[in-house]
Amino acid sequence: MIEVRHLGKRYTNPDGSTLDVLKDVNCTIEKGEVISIIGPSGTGKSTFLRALNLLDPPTSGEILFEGRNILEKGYPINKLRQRMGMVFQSFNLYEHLSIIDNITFAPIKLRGMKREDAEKEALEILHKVGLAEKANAMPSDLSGGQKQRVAIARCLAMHPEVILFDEPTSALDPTMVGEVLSVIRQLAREGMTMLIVTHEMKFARDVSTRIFFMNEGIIYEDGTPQQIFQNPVHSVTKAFVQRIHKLVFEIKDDTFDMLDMHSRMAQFCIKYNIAEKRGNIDKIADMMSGKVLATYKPLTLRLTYSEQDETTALDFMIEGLETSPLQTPETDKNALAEVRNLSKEIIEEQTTRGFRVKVII
Amino acid sequence: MKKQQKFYALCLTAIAIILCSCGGNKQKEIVSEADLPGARIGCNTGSIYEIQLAARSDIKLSTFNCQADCIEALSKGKIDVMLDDDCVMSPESRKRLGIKIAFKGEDGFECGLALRKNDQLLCESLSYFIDSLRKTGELQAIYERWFLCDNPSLLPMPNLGQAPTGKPIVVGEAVNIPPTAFPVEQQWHGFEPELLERFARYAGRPVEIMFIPINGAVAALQSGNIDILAGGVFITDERRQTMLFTSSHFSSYPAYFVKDRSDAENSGFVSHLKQSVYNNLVVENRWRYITDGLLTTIVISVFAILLGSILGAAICWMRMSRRRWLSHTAKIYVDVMRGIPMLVFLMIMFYVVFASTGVGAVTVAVISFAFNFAAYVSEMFRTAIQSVGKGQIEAGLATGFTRVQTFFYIVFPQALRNVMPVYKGEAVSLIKNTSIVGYIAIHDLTRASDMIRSRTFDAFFPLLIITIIYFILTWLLGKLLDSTVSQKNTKK
Repeated sequence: MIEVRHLGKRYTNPDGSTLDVLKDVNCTIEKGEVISIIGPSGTGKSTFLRALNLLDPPTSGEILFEGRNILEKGYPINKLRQRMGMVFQSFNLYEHLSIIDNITFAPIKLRGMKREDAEKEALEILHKVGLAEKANAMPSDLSGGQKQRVAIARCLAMHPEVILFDEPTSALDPTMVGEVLSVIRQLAREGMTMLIVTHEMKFARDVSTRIFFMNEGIIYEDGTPQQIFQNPVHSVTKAFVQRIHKLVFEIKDDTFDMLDMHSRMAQFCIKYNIAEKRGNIDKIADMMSGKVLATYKPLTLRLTYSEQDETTALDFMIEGLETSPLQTPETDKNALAEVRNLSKEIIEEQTTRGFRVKVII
Repeated sequence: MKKQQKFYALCLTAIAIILCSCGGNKQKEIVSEADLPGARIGCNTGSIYEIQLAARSDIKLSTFNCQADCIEALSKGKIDVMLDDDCVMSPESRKRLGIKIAFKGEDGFECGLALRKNDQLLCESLSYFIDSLRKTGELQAIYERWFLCDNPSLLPMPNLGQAPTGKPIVVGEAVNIPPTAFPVEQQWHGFEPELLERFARYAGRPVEIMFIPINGAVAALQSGNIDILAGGVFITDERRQTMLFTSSHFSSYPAYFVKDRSDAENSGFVSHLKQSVYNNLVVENRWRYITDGLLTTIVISVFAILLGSILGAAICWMRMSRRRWLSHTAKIYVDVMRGIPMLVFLMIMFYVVFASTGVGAVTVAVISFAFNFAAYVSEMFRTAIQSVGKGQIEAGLATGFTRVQTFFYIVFPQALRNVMPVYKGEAVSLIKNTSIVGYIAIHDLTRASDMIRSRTFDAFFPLLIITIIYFILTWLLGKLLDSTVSQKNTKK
């Protein structure tokens, strides 16, 4: 139904410098698919979505809707938009109209429906999203979740072929997220084609038929929820879906500022709410870099925390090494024993780059 | 804190009382020329007397816009003596207001009728006519009939027969004072009008008299809006440089007016009020001035607001256009219009821009006020439109509306609601600003009060009436505008 080829969006600053928010996006979207678009902030997810209905027209590439490139001159954009619905993060209900008028507005003005017919249908749709009693209220009377449900109803009144959701629940507090997601779920069950930019991982997993992981202006990875969440191909994808945070230090020689490293690790712990592990992390870092692996320089030290499974790990990578540094006769056994005491597990593994010792805390 | 506030309030009240009492009603007794040094003297702005008195350093001079204001000041004790022409107040008026002439000056002034420098033919004809009346003694007879009469307001104009037809000679009367010249229900009575009507029959052309305040009179003469300027205009050498004068048709003597203390105390407030109503509204159907003026004010205001709003919308569109030349032109227009005072702009439009065209004063006023209004409201519209959230436009576009449809259906209703409070204020301002149209000889509501005031010399009552009327007008307009943006309030 929709085919995207080499889509690019470039912003040019007044001083001549350019920023490519979208670099080379390619994908095909079939009828009935529910695609969640996930990825770190600022990677062009919303830009991509808004390019599809030309709210932010792209600067290069093609978008084919039913075989025809919508970017060519003379294409009836307004007619296209009438077949695509959009739900915004900030709801964007028409503040000066009542709820029922918000919904009947476009059908009456654009599709030429009679008022009575439009209102009848509007009430049915409102009933479907659970807000029939609010038909005569004004948008300012409603809560965020209710407003978003009305926004979805407003879209549905135009009988679109595809609905684009731009972070539909990002502006809602957790108590209201559920009611909106259940409406979207229902639409998915009914076979509506939808593209949803979202941060709700669990929801994306449950509802989507496909997931686009976007990063650095392209669709980094594209697969079923199973593939993306359980067997991601790229480490970047993995880091994102498992919500792994890391802090990396390169210890080149003795002039390395250990105190600075400790203070940054402390900030990291506070940031991710693992302050109780701070003491152990400090001790292990000192033991390993100062005693056990003291002779191995340069040393790359990495502190990681995975939100998904709540594991904290400190790993040490020595480039070019082929055997484990913990098995040699010179190894400081006492220090190593202390480290073992403070940790859950120590993993020694050979990688293409060198040797890695992973201490799980 | 409360104690401190009370103390400050007390201090302020004390200061206010002191300042008020400093105004003082202690009038100096003036009997002769010798009493003048140290006195507070009042006269009209721009009159010959102002020049004379300004040269003296031993008196305190106050100048006033018109006789009525000057007399009011005299009555209230703000000045000790008023210097003006002796014919300014008839004996009846003086008695009614409790004013008498202390003494008269010896040097009189010759008054003439003023014309444009190049209008020699008409001037010669008029001068000849006046001279011939003087030779036969008729001029003196007419003069005495008007000026020696106790109450010239009641004197009827003589029946001179049918007025001639043809292109009228437009006469601008700068005064509204019996017995020199004063309108009585659309017809002008008085010494000068009689003279002019007689001239009309002599010259075979009708004469059309209109009131024009002295400030705008000279400009009106030079620009051709009037042919003759009358109203006890003193003939001076300075004036001869820019205007042509006929032979003098009468002379005026300076008189020093003071308050007559021998009059009895005022009667009760209610009867005073009743007398005010009678004098100001009933006599000579003066209430008609007010209704006619009200109609004029409404007409000018309504059309100016309508035209100004349309123009303002156009300017706003230009200002918000992506084309830089449109945007810059609009910005210049707004800055220039907001920088010129309304009165100055009005006079430029009437006496310069539309000078030689036949466009009527009311039309010029509507156009001028509309241009000014447009400049202010265009900025208000722009702010209101920009205040509507961008998301509203995105929602409209995403649904499939065109840019134009999105504007009219979604942005405009919300912008209208946002702009209404300030727009209302600007519209109300416009209605009040129309009070300056008197300067281009339009008889609006404010001019009506001036006309009544200059006859009855009662400052308070006419002003009170039109204040109330202006307030009602603006209040009604406010209500009307509010009703166009009634909010649908459906709280369940």
